[in-house]
Amino acid sequence: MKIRYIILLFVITMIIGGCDIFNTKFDDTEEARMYEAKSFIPAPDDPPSLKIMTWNIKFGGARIDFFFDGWGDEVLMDESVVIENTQNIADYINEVEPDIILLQELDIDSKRSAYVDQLQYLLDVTDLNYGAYASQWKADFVPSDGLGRMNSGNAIMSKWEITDAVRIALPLIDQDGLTQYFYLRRNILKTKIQIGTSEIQVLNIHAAAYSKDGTKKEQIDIYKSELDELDSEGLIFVAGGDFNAIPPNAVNIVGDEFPDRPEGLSDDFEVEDYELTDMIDLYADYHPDLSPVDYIQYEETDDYFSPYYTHSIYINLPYEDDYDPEIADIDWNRKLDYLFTNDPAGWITGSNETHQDTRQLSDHCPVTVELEW
Amino acid sequence: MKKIILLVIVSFVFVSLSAETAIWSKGTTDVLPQGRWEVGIFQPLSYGLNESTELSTFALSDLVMPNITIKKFWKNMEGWKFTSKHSLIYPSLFLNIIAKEGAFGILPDNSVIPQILVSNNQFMLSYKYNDYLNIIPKIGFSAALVSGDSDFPTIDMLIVYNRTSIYHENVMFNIGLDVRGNITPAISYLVDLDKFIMDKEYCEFSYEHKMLLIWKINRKFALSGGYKICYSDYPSKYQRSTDIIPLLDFQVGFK
Repeated sequence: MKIRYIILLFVITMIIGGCDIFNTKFDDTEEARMYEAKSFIPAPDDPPSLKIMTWNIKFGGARIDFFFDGWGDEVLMDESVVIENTQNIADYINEVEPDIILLQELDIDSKRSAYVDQLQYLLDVTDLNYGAYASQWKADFVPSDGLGRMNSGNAIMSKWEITDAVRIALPLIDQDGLTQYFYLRRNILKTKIQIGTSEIQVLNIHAAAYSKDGTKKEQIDIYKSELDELDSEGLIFVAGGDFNAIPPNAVNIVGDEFPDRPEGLSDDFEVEDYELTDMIDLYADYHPDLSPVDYIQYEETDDYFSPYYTHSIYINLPYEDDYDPEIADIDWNRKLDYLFTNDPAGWITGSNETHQDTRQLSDHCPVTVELEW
Repeated sequence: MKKIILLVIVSFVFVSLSAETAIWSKGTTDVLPQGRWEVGIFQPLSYGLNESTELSTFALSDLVMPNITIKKFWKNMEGWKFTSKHSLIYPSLFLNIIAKEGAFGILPDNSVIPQILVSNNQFMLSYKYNDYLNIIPKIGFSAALVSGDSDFPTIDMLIVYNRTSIYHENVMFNIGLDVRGNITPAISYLVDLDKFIMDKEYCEFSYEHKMLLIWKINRKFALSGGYKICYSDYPSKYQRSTDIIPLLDFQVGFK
């Protein structure tokens, strides 16, 4: 009889031990994955200013019509396509010459991007020497849409050494258990960068999209509380990312009024109604890359155009070969990407740029701004 | 050609120099006694055709992935038993079903699936030292006949990757060793190690190790539980790792 209980215990142990067999979960706080470039390019110990960039690079997918865009059917890219697109992103980075970059939607080990480690690739072909990575979507196998293996997330790249980097888990969207198990797990990537004898804290976030249960606001509030803690300790930070939220004084608020949904599109990725309160506390307490006054002047005069919009749909533009006059053209349509600092001097006046000439590289454009150092 | 095929079938079904049958004999060189049925949650439906031949199929999957296996006990040579197993599988229908958008879309919806017929062939020897220890070296190969346009990715998932890579590579070899025996008259164990040899620059091999305890409750019911450890090359350099999965099965037998 005893042997039967041993078997039962053995079997139960095996089943419990086998949980999370697709390896999708994270601890509440865990160390980020650290990277170094193959060869180092010397960075000055005492730079006069720091140019900071944030960019959601859409895993090097550029303007391929993916299935999740709603009007495409592509799922997987060939390695040559991923390399070409990632190199184009690297070329743009080299042109702008940022000192520190916050990246979102960067793949390091995903079947959809032919398993190219995009962070290592970018480090090896730019002037940035160090990297830290926190996964946002990780699964040995995602059994949906033919996605397969996935490891995509946020990264910070720096010319100077990243001496500390942690991944802080954020609350999950309310979903059924199976979907949630394989779904994105948002996080804050919190790093410390040593510049000569000084230190700067750099934080990156990619907050929830399609959140209709208040999770996105909760995530942004947690991010804000991390910044408040650093601020109360007297530490200087730059923080940013893709917040999937619009500025607190935006005019276009309701999803239906955003010109980003061709007729007949599936409702799977229906745009939420944006809340003006999502970013209000960050704007109130810290210096944004773009002042509300500058932001509003274009939205008020031209509903669907602003040189400060950072997200685009890019469909049916008049100068494209396949332009169809019967379909409404859609381009840059909202600001979702931001940078903040608590430096008492704020950002260098007039140093902010929204790089809308990157339309072919991603559905987001980079934002840069400079900090006196 | 027809005569050759007929000769092969006849020899498989009727030719035997001796017979070795046993119940709950999955994975051994023995075949089921004539007329006995066995089936498990994760085991195929098996039938003892005669005292040296066993037929099996994964009945639930037959509608979407027709498959048939014939297991033939050939000879007992001074304690060494020789058995072979030959399977035919047609996975194209199933691959088309799992090439879809949304949940359980294992392959992209825009995949182009060719006609594929897989032949899996295994050859096993076993030597019984005593009731507690049998060793079973085995060797085999799988070959895939592929016809028509093909444009679909590999399925980079443990256990599945090595078994489906032949849809792209056409041939795979395997070699392995089982050790099994009785702990008590009702409880037996199985420890095995298999190596799969694939023909890819970045994925040359995979290993699988399994340990099972099998509780033969009576002639009608058996319960097995254990683990499987997989170590494999994959197209991803990060995925070259070890995975462990639990194994649990409940089997029933008739006659």
